[in-house]
Amino acid sequence: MRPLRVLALCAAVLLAPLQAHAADPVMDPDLRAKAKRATDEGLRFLRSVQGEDGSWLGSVGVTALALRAFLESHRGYDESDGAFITRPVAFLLSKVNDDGSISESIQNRNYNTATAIFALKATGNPTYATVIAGAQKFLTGLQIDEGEGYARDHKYYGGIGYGGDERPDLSNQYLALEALSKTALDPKDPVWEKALVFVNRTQNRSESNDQAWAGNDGGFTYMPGYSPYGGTASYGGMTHAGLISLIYAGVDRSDPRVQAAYDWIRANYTLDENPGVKGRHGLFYYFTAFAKSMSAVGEAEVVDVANQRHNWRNDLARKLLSLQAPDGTWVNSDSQRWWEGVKELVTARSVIALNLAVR
Amino acid sequence: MIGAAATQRAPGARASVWCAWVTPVIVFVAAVALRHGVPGHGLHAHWLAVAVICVAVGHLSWPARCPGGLLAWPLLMAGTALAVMPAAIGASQADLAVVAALALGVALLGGVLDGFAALLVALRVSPGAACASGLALFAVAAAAPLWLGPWAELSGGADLVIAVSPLSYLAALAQYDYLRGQWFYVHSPLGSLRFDYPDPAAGSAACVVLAAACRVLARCVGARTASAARDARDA
Repeated sequence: MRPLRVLALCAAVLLAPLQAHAADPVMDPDLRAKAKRATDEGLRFLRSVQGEDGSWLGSVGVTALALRAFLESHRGYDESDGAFITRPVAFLLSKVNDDGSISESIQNRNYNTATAIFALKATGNPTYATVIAGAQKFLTGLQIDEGEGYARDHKYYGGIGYGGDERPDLSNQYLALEALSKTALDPKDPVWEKALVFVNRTQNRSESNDQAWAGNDGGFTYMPGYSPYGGTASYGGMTHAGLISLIYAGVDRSDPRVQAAYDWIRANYTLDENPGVKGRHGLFYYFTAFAKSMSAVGEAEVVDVANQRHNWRNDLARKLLSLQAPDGTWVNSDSQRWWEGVKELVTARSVIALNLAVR
Repeated sequence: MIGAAATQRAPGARASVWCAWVTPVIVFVAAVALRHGVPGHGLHAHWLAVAVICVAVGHLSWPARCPGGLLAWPLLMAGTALAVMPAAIGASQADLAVVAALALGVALLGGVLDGFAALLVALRVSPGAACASGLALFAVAAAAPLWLGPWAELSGGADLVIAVSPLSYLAALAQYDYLRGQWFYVHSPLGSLRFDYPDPAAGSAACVVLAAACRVLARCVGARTASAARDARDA
């Protein structure tokens, strides 16, 4: 018996690492290590092109994304790490306007303000609470409702757009809701319920979408009644944005709307393209939204409609690693839309996505 | 064209006075109809639309021979814009600065179009045809984001295409991101690209230079034509 016990003990010692490897359902350890190195390389690039004022491209939006990429990385950067963190924070604070928005121009005020307060909150510094509160008020003020003369049955009701008189859309909506959730806006604030009215109207689900055009594949489109890819077709980036919006607005994961969106994702699971989109438009936007929604859902694996199991972290990491350039950057070389030809922006987005995968 | 027709029936100062009354009325009615007939757009979008209508109607009403000098008609259009926008569309205290800036833009763009028409008249084009040509040029330039948008997406020339359009100049004054508004976002790829609107001060300076250049050219052409006519008579 003794030799058997010894043999068993040896086997246990030898097999333990393999068991640990096999037992890790979250992410492949090798991939995790490579993904972390990739984020380091991306952040190294961002530091190398950072402006004297701490900003990237003089843009609040790009600066906030890059700052978020640093703060959420596995390195645990914060303001004590030096000027490469404190200067972009100062830059963002220097762009706070009287109306609470944080933007260097009238363009993209929602996007800029939302990404800025997300980054400021991520610093963990309570001194920014007043700025964040003012920005929250600006974002909630952007919501289209009775205050702007819109009735509840108008297709724009509850929506948030770019930040001026432009029409609302799901992309701006989800970014605003993400920021408001991150900065702990009161869950009872009416902005959430109104936002759901708009979000419902962008989902191809006739049971919850009162618009005549609504289909039933469960996916989401860009605006009520409009998809850039034809008619009212659902596509990947917006479906993940819609799923995130539902979750942040407090909709339970068992809700049929959430289930329908998740089923669309299962039916169209891919990281080779932005499903439903022409060419490679918005590819990196899709990767980031994918990472955010999968993190929010909380499942380690996605089982597609063919019953194939997909570890989304591994898949996303592999894809992003394959697309990273030798200088540590990412860029969409096939499409300029949504600023994806801008290395700083796309690198920041990719690092944010990898940060979520390795977390 | 309205001005040209009026000039034919009642030449000179009477035509100008008639146009000076009719034009603001037309613009006011259009502004009210727009606000109440086209819901779903914010104040700034409506102001931009009224500014465009003001420029277009003002140019169509251009009386060609306007007493009060070169600046009279553009200033009249600016005054129309300044009066119509708050009255027909509404303006809070904070927005009056935007309305005033738009009124200035209307005056300057109107000056460019009127200068262009004056140049054509000096070249012996009828006032009606000159007005129509100016308006056509305005429309083609304003539509640049539509017909040049695909080229801009491929070439990276978004800023140039946007700068060429007088709509962009007025939109910058109106503080309205029109390329990301409903209609333009659907019909032009520019709204999804990275770009900057032209600086309003630079746009205004460009209008002044263009208007002045047209007037100077018109004067030179007119002087040459008059001289040739004198020579022909003397001969």
